[in-house]
Amino acid sequence: MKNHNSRILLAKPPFDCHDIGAKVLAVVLRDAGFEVVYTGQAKTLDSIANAAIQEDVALIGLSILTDPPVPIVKEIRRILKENDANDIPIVVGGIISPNDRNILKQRLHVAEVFGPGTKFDTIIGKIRNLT
Amino acid sequence: MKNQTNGEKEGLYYTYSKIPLKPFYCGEDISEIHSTVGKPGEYPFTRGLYKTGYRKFSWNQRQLTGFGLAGDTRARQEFLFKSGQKGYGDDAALTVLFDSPTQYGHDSDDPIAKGAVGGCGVAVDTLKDVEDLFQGMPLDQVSIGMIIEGPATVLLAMLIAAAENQGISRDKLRGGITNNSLLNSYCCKNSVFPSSKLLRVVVDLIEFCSKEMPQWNSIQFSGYNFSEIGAIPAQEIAFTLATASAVVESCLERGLKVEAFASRFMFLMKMTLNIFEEIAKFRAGRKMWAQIMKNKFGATDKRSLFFRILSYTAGSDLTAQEPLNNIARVSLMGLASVLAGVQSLYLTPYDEALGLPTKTSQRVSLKIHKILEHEMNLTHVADPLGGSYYLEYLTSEIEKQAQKYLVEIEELGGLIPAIESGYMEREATKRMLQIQKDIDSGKKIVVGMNKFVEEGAPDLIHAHTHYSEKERVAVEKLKAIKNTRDNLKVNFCLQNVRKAAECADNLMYPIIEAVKAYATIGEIMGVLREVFGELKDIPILADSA
Repeated sequence: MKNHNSRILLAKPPFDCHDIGAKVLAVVLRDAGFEVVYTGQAKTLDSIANAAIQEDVALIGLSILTDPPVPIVKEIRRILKENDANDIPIVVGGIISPNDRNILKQRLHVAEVFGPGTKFDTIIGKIRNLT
Repeated sequence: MKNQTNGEKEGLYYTYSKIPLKPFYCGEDISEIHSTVGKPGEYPFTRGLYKTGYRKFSWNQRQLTGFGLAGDTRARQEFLFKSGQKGYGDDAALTVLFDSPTQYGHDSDDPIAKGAVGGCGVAVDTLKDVEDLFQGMPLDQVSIGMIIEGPATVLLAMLIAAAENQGISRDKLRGGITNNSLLNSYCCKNSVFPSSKLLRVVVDLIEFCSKEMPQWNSIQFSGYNFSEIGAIPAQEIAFTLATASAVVESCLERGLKVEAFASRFMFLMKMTLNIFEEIAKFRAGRKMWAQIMKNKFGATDKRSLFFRILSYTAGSDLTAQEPLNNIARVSLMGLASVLAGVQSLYLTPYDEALGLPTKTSQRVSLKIHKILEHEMNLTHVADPLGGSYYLEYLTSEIEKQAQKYLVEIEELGGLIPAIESGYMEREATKRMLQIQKDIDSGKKIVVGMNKFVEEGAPDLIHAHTHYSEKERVAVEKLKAIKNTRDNLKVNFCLQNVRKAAECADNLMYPIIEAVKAYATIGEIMGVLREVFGELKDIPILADSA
């Protein structure tokens, strides 16, 4: 699958209004040269996966603070798989417990988990490596 | 913060709100305002609402609680009562937080709710859940708080129905509901309906309470969320007051007398570690609201002039790193709130940045209240900071800043046009980008996070665990209710909700009938969404700095 290597999707799951991180990161990544598609609070989890496919993104960034991350990422992976798009790397930021971090990385193949306090340069660098 | 370019030479220092600061203040700095400051309990109440301060009643000491299913939250409430949670004086009290699907008006079996049921609050779908939430609790003996915006009408209706099932009439119910859709429409965005419809829904609830529930706080204007996304103290006050003024106007347009509803307003404001500005903000809020109510709306009853404050200690000032440090942060913010003379205080648990609160962290917060109340001799004298040169200067400056923002809102055409223009979100987002950049660069110091950082293992804190099987249980419960209720009656009730929504009839009455028939939140809100439309989150990003 051909991806624009500088276009990324930043999304928040439905109901997740803690959006400071996502909104700030959208601008920081944009300033670092990425083309950022920011969904805001998505209407449904489907719409996140569909947007990633339609926009032909090189990476999906999920900002998850309100609700537990594992069921959300699991569902998005499922929809991507259904649509033959499971090779798009996923990174997750937000409130992630150590236990959830392991599940996300080991079982759900999330490429990076960015916890609170991660430096912008670190995020930019790691996303560059993935795209 | 220091002005980095000129600071060293010219000694220019500013507050977070960019108010210029002298090295110290004295009498001549406040000579013009000193005579207007007044006394606690006297108009315009800058120094506090009550002459006797906390001598008669302490502030409310409640933990916001909600997770999993009704039974889980009910059990936690018992624990909190035993740990010292209370209302005014020794009154039993509690405050409930609802899960995301409930907040946005969806049921646990809605596909959109997948993964979120019982996640950040308690899952409520029907009256049965509210009955279970208050199982064994005589509803006329507890002050009930509910944090809910878009579906506020439905949750209040469920509480009323649950009380009536206990043989308790609605006029006996004490407590309050946030009903804060207007301010949340550009912050949390859990208002459900578009901005243009919010006043109608919000005021329906207030009107209903003014007639039927004299002991119930029908709205808590919350500047907290707006402040959390980047607003400065003066903006938080100004936009809160503008919202409250618009609501008063709307109530008066319906023919209500100001005394019938205004004394039941509350104001949920943020307290941060920037304590002097925040205390000044609370004082300015009290003064400005009293003056608005008296001069603009002609209120004469004292209680209609009261800016009653629930101080909410800032979650954003806490860190995920070294969470025990947050106990100090919250204590300091709690102290500032008590010194400011607030009516209610929420002490954010120290594990706020890690997840939902555990019993331990909630218990610690409650004990901080007790230390403030019983070990510091703070409750004997009202407004102990009154007359402080610095504080009175700041109060006056914040009031001036807030007045400017009130004028800007007017120039934008009033509250709803200002909200719809995206002005609020744009202002806050711009500032938040700079704050986050300053934290990232280390210019803004956050202890334990970007400076004075512990190498090695973090504090071991047990974080709250979420069990996803709750979703399955909630879905099964809902299925059983739908199978046993009178579905013809439910449809009939929903038609009446629709009819009321389409004309100007108060929504509360048909919603109460619908919840009694065990209509679900999703069904009732679904009808209202069809009539009113739905709030869309159209994010506004800042330009690059």
